[in-house]
Amino acid sequence: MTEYSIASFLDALAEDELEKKITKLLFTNMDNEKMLNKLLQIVEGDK
Amino acid sequence: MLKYDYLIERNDGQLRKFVPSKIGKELPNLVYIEGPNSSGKSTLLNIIALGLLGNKSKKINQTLINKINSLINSNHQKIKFNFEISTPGESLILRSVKNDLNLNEIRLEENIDGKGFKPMSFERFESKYNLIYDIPNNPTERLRDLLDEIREEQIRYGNKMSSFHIYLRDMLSEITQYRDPERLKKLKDTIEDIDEKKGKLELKIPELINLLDSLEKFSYVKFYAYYLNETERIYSRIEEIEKEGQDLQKSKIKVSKRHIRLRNIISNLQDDVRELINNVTPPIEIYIPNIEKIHLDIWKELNIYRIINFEMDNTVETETIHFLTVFNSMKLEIESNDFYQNAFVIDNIIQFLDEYKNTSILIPKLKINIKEFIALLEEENKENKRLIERYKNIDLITQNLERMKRMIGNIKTNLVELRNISSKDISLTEEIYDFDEETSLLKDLKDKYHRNREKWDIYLKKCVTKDIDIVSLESKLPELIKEFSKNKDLEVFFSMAENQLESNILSIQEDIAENKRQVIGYDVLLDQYVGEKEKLEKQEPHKYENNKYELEKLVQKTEIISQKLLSEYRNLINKLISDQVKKFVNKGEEKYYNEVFKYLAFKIGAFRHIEDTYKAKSVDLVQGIIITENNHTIHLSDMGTGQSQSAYLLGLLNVKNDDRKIIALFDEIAMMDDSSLEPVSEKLRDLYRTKRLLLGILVQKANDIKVVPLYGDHNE
Repeated sequence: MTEYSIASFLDALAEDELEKKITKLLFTNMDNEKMLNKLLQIVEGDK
Repeated sequence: MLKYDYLIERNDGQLRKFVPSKIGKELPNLVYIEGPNSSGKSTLLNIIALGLLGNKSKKINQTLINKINSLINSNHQKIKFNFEISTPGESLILRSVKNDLNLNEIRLEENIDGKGFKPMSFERFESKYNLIYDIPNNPTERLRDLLDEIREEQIRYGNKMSSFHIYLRDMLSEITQYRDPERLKKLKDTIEDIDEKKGKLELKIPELINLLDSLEKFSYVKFYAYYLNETERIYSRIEEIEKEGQDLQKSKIKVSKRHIRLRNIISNLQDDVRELINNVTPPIEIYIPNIEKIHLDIWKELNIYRIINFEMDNTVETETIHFLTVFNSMKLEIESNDFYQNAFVIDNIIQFLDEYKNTSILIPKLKINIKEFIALLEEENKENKRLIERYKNIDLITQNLERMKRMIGNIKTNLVELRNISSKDISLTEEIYDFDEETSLLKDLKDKYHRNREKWDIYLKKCVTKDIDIVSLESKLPELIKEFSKNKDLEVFFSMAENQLESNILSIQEDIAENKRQVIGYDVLLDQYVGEKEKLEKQEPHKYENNKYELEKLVQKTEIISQKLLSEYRNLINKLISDQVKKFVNKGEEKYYNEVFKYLAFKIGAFRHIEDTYKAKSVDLVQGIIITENNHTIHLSDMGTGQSQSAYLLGLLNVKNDDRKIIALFDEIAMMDDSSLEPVSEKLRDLYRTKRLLLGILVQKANDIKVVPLYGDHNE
């Protein structure tokens, strides 16, 4: 079976793409500011 | 390498001391220990767990926590210890020391790359190390304990999400404290809006002041002229009646009361006609075409009181009828004008809508309310409305002329009757009039004269206040009236009665005062808003000024996620841990628990059952079954204890996305045979090889002491 972690677990439960992206960032070592900047890049990119 | 030492003083009737003796004070990082009861193997695991502050861990089973705490909280025993766990080459050393039997202080320290020992709090230790300490009793049941990790991770990431949510919320609130672009735009719009409104008022006020000035002058001159004429007329009438009475008295002619009554009726009618002439003459002067000037001159000279041989001057009637014809044809001419017809319809619509002007209904498509719609219609109808005013004024002239015509007819009829009774002798039965008494007619006239005189004076003074030259006023009256007639703004007032004009003057004065008050109010608001705008413009823009919308979206989303992790999922996992889930209540629950079962399958990975090795795909704790990757269904109740222990320990060791160094301590694994133990040992070796394991100790009960290193050179 494929590797399955708590990250995969929460990813599978996410309701939409944005939730998946936010959840994914939780498992990085980014601080809040970096997480926000990364998310803004993602949101900008999605426009 | 694990180096350790300890001293336990136990007093159970007699004082006994325990120190390490049978196992050895130095052990490899990955080791399997066998030994009989009281050989110190469990004590060693408890001391290491205590030294690493495991008694504060939420992941360790409560029975074990009690055992760890009993080392320091028992009345019958005291302990001191020290140990060091180091990596090969000692690039990392963890040291824990409790060097006083009587004090419970434990000093946990970390030394990285030989930079010296630094103290560690429990929180810091937990963030860098994963202490796994377990006795896999009843392992099938304890598969549920693996769910603790999901619960803890949900809380851990829920808290992280909550902290991120608070950070985002703070950022949003910071933007409003910095240069809030929305507030700035709103302020600019508001200032522009107020400026526009104030500008309109500032233009309107002088217009109103001019209108008021013209209207006052027009009213004062109009009523000065009216009361002047009336005063003079009444004065002449009084003189005439007094003279007439004196003449009759001198002639000794007896006059009946009926005769006098008729004369009074005629006289009253003459007064009313005269008053009407006074009223109607100014508007006639305004609207009469130049071609009718000769008739106007005759009209002004009309003498309503001139009666010869019981017949009044016919000119009065013929001129009245003439003007009626002239003004009726003017009315017809206006009525046939298309602009008038449009203006008339719009005016009727405005009058109808006026009743509903305070409702909030919006006109479809135009998206404006009724009040705004009325203003729009009035603006559109502004030019054509003059036609309506003109029509109304001319209509009023014709109405007054019609009344005059009727009154003149009445005077004539009464004169015929008077002639008839005057030609007869007075019968003896008739009452005779006494000339000594002042007639009520004369008395009324005198009262009226005084009232008119007072009014004349009042308007004279008012004219002075408006700088109207009163010396030449009488001679210039026609000229002045003509001048007013050119002012189109006054047209609406031309036919108004005195009280209507007074109330209009008052209303315009109030309008001016109200508008001035509004301008002052707008100035106050402008001061406030401009000040705030300037202050805001001086402020630095926030770095996320242009991302407010995205931030708002993220604030909402992160709140939802953190609430799910900290509340919804927490409740669901707790229900499963406490064996309260018998079936799935809804799709959401089903999805969640299926993911939990997949996660458990990953934790167990490959496991032994009977003679074969399987890989789990789903561990369904509700039905008590494991579904393998080959779609075999294995009931947990059918698994041997040793095999279940093995599956359970693998579950504890299968960690991913967790960079923390593992310290794994497993006690009482006696149920596992070699084939069940091997996957666990292999997993530990793999973790050690990949430098994710710092210390691994497996302990089993046996008759003899045996210490077996499980890795590298130590592996026997």
